[in-house]
Amino acid sequence: MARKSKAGIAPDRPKSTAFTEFYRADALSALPGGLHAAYAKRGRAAAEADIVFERLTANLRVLRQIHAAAGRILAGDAQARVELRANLDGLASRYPAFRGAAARLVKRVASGKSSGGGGSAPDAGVLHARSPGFGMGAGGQAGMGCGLISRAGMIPVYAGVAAAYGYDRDGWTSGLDVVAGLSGGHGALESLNHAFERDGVAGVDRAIEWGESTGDPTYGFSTGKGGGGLPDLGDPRGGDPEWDSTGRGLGGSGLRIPGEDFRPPIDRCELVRQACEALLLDTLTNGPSDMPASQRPAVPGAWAHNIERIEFPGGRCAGQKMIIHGHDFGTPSVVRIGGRAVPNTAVVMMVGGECTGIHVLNPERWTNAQGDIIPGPVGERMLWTDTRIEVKLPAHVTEGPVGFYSPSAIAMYNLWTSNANSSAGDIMTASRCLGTPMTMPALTAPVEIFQPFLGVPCPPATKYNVIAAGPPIIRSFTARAGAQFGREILIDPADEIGLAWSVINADHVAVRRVSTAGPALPGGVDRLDDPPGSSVSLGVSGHDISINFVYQLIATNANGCGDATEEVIFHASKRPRLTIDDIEVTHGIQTRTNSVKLIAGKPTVVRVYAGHGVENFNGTNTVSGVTGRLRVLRQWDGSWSPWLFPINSGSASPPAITLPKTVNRMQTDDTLNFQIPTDLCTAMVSFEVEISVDNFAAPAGTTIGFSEKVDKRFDGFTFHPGLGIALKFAPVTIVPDPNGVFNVQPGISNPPTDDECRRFLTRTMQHIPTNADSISKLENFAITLRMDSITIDLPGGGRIQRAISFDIGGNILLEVMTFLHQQVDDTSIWAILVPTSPGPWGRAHIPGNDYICWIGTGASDEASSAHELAHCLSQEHIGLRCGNGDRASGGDTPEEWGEDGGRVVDVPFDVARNSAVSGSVFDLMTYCQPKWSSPQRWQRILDYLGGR
Amino acid sequence: MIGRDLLIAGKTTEIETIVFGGFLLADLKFEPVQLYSTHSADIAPPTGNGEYFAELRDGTDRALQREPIAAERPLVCGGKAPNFWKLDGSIAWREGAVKLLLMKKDIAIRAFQVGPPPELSLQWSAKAVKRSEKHELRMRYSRQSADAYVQLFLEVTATKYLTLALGEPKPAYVIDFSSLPAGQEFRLVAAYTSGLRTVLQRTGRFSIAEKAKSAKSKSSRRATPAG
Repeated sequence: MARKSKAGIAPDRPKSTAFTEFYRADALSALPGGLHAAYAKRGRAAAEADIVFERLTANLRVLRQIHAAAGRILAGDAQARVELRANLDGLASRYPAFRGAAARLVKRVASGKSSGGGGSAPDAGVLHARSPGFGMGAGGQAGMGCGLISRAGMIPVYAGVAAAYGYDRDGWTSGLDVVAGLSGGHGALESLNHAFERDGVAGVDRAIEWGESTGDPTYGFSTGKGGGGLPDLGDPRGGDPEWDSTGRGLGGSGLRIPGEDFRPPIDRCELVRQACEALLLDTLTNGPSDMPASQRPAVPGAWAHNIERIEFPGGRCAGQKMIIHGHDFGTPSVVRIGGRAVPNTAVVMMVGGECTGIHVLNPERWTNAQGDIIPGPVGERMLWTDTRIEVKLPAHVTEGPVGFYSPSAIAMYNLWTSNANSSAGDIMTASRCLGTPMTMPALTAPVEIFQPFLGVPCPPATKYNVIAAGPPIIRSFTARAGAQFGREILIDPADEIGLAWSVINADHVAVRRVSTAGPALPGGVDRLDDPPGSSVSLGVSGHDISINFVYQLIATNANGCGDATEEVIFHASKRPRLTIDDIEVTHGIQTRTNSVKLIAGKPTVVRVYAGHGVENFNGTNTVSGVTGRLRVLRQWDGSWSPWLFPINSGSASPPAITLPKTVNRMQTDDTLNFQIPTDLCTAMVSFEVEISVDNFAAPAGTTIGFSEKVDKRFDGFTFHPGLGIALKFAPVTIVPDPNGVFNVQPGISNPPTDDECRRFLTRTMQHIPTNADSISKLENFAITLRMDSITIDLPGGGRIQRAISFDIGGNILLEVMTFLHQQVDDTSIWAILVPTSPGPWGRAHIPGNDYICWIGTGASDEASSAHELAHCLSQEHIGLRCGNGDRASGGDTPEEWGEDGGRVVDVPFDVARNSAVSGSVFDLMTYCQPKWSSPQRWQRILDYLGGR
Repeated sequence: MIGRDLLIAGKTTEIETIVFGGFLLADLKFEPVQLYSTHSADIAPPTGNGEYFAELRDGTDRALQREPIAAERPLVCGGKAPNFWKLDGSIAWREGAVKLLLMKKDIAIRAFQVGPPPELSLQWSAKAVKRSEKHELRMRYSRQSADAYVQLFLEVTATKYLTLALGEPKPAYVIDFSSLPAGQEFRLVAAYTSGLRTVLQRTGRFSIAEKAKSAKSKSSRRATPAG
């Protein structure tokens, strides 16, 4: 909103702007208008206001230059480091008033003085630089800022200064003074601008009045302490202090920098910024307790110039003596660094291919009164004189230069870096007050600006100090196949395999095939001496059986310390490359496209059709030990069932199958079969299938083979609501014929028990596309069938008895029961179950509610029962002539039936027995065996049930 | 056996149609399954195959009425084709008829004497019975013919009947209610067919109550040996 000034000038108050760079240029652009208005109100020229503006912004311009240079330094620009340092030195030299500015700022903030003129600047006094709460509390909003400068932008400024001086505390003090002076002097602009942003021209008025009242000459008005007019600004039109990009330092036009004599701010926002800077400055200059006082020590090194000759009087192997001849070897001693006893000199030589220190104490030093035991990788008591040193060769000694190094120098170097890193951590913590933590070059958590010296320095090789000693060392010998490598690896016939090694201290290397199996070495040989490089390719493995390939590496040298050998093993196996191709969801009959309608709540089996990539491996095309699991996603509530495991035969747990190359649907165990709990068979579901094999085709003597697991999800299976029917059974008692014509069915009681009848009818329902809502006994009837009569005992005690032969009697029985059924107005289907053997007959009405058939324990018995039940459900015969000449009469001819002429080309699955129905199968309504509901039959019955 | 239509209509003695059905064996022996008369004309005359007929004849053996009989080979699954026929038919009653002949072409297969309308009365006084009880229904009937039979029903509802007995008439029937449903408004219905003529009689209504639970448990406890 615009605020009208008394002078009628209504400059817009700048809107708050997010920091996009070091300072908010758009906010600053509005300030000249405010100054113009305030000066006009006082009868002063706009040009004077412009001069004041130029003067107030001089520090900001210099800080912006430093910020830019610091950014380049932190990005790794070495030239920028030279440039910034030269400019800071130039400013420090040109403006002596900067000297001590950092300390003054810290002191002022710490003492709580807010204003040299005695005015009130709230809060500044309580912001103590070392207060932990201060840093974190203020930091929460420090980065956002309320001033012109981005507070967080000051972090790289200070970091850049520290980096420009190589983190040399002695050197960076003057640089920090310059930045602190510039930043503090810039506070006058911050205060003025904040007043303008807050109150418009009235705010500028108050700032000018405050300056006048405190004797601040900034605005060029009478202070009562001197004459009026502008202060001496040097040459205000001379522009910015020159920024020298050549690294020679600032030139200068004589522009006076206000930081020479900056005044404490009156603005709360600026107070917070300065307090945070003070905290950072305090940490940089005084805070880090571990800051090393000295420059970073030189990186430790090793030397060998004083070695003239090395001899091995007894041999070149571990434990034998090496004598170093030379001059100026001095006397080894122990010094204390950081509380630890460290030797000042030690021998360095190659052990295991690495420069390794041998801490040596001569007998005299060993008994030194200090009693220090020197820690180190190798400690050995030996002779050490100024011209001769005797060293016992350590285990794993290898060829290379021998020399000397100073463990104490390394300790000192590392102590320095440790202290410096600790200090940097303090600085980071302090910088949080300004915003994001200071990020120094290569500075991460934990703080590690300076890397300690690790290991032992290696001596230079001279004409005299390079020795040959120790046995050959095989650092590695690996079998490789693609990205896989190791001492023992598992390979597929398609893998390109090879060997790779790393050997030191060896004169010769040989590679040998130990096993009779496995690809030959390049050139078709079993042994390869001194092959070029450090690897050989063995080509594509191409094996067709499970077997182990063994290769050996032999390294030798002339040092007489023995040879080195290593072996690797390729476990040649076969990746099974399992796939999940399809599933079949069946109640008993299903097509491969799952087009047969599924019925909710019916017993269901999912057959999983899997594939693999094994062909003629170990003489077979199969993958044994394939198992899996399956779970059901109930789409209606998004919940998953627990995992279900296969129901295939066999002793494995969970059951596993031998997966053939081509799945034969008629083979029960060519597929993994899962029984689905009927409560999961409702509405729309998905199936997630996982199949796996463990350690397939492991070579003899190992258990290492390929393990694989694949999974796949199958969506869109719908279980339709069933059109249930109720079944009532009437078990018949038979009186067997003594001549064996009329016997009791094996495995069935006489009369059949209720459980036998229920199980029989439950299995009968496999062929019918609905559930039995109920299967119950027809109570209070007792039926007896003899060779020559039938008897029906009725509810209420009555009896119907007819003398008639059993074959006619069976028909009369059905008619009588049908009649009795009609009287009771019962819509259930009555099944009259006769336990006869042989029992190849049954009868039903088409359609009807009653049927009679024999009861047995076989699938064919159940299919015959389903045949009669299907008659009740309006299904007619198919007059297909069977192999034994039987042909059902009535109904459709095979041609009229259409679908495969009465044959079932899809493979039924006996859900009750977990068994595929193999061989030629015929439709349920033929007389042929075995018979099963075909997909068309299933749909016909479904249509009839739906239309009842 | 008595057709449901007759039961539901509730009439007693009028005869308009004789209904018959059964199996004709290879030796031309007829085994009846249904044989009764009914007032109902709802039974459609069967379509015969031209081979079997039914005839009503008078005392001079003159044919009063002739109707074709439906004959079919029963569809017996799985076995050999049956060597018997299932015959079903009905024939309208004619005054003066004294016998019904079932004929294969011109050969009389079976003759049934047609007698005068039979008489039947029931004696039943119970208004309420329990399922634990047995009660006797006494029956008085006129002299029976050779093929006479009684079919005794429990009328559960107007459309639901349970057959309690089927066979030669007896002066008394002991009815065991333990296997019958409990409820109200039951009646016993007896259909007496003699000389191909059927008469129906009903008892008064009565209820069947569940056996008292306390009595059952008490009795059960007494039956348990002590100790």
